[in-house]
Amino acid sequence: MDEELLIGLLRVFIPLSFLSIGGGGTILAEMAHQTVDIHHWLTQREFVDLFAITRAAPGPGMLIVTLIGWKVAGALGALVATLALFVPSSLLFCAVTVLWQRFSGSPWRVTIERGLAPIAVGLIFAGAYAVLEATQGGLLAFATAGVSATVLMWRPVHPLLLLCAAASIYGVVLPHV
Amino acid sequence: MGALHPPRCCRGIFANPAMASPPDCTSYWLARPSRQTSRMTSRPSPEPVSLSLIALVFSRIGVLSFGGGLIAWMHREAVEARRWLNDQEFLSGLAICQVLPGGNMVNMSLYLGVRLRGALGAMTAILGLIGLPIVIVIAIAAVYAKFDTLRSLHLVLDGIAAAAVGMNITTGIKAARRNSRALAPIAIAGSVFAAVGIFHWPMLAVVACLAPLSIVLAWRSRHG
Repeated sequence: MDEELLIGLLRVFIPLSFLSIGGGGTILAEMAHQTVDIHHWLTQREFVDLFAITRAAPGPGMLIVTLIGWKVAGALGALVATLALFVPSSLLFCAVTVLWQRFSGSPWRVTIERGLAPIAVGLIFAGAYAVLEATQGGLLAFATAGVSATVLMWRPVHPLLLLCAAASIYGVVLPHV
Repeated sequence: MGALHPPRCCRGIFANPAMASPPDCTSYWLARPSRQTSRMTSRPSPEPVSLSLIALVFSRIGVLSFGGGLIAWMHREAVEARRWLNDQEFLSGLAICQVLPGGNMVNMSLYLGVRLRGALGAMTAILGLIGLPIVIVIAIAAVYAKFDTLRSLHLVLDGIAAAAVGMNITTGIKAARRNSRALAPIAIAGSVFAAVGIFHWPMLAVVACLAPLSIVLAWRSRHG
């Protein structure tokens, strides 16, 4: 039973590791789809909560996999999920970096960089949309994200300040509406 | 990799980062890893950085980088404070990190770790980066599990999630701005967003179809 769960974690997160082109934000949509809709490891509600926790805490946002693993199969699950997401892409990265440096300035490298960029952009927005869709906020969630993005584009505000502001507005004002 | 055991002089993780490792330690490490780094970089690195310093610096980056500001922290530590590499090298490294799979910060740590001390340096950097945050995140999640019936807690977390998505959107906009203004990349990005985000099509299939197309279009636009 437990082994099945651990193998399930590997099956979901190893492919996601190779797919996380352009950063953790790109696989967010697929991760939500796999863990919530297909495997039913956690509810949409829990996915949003874990996402919020990893964003409010220090460290890379991809640590959400550690929490999903923890939720699915305890400490061992956390370890397996973390390794499944971090190790494959890291090995690939180290191998390719060595080659990549040799091809600096080669037209192929420039073309691949330019070709993959729009894919990553589309996936980042898909991930943002997936999380907003999963929150209960509806239109308010979209508005909050929009305001937060606008502020961040405009001024060098510390992101943690924005998270605190949103947390207090949602926590203090919303329960009384 | 020859000796996996760090020499005794590298034990002080909590040592003052400003103090370089003693000279005998330096010569001990000079032999293998520096040859590796000089292959990766155009110029040989001036002096090897101790593993304990790498662990210390990356733990600090990992723990202090609340709210996804890791890139700014990393730039401050690696380029401005320690001059491990220059601005141009940092940016070209970042470009590689964005093209290859893996979190940008995770890859950037590997990139810096490999440059500084080869494979061992990369491993040290990555463990330093995510070690403490993992403990913190699990601790917060354990507390959360105790209170997850509170409605207001969910509202607070919803608020944080929505604002945090704003950060993702900013990343997306900045990346989109770096792209060319041509129609093709915009159409590709839009299709990927619609397919994966709105229609929930499997990401693997979408990327497998559109990535080659996008690269071919990028190649043609070069010559056209």
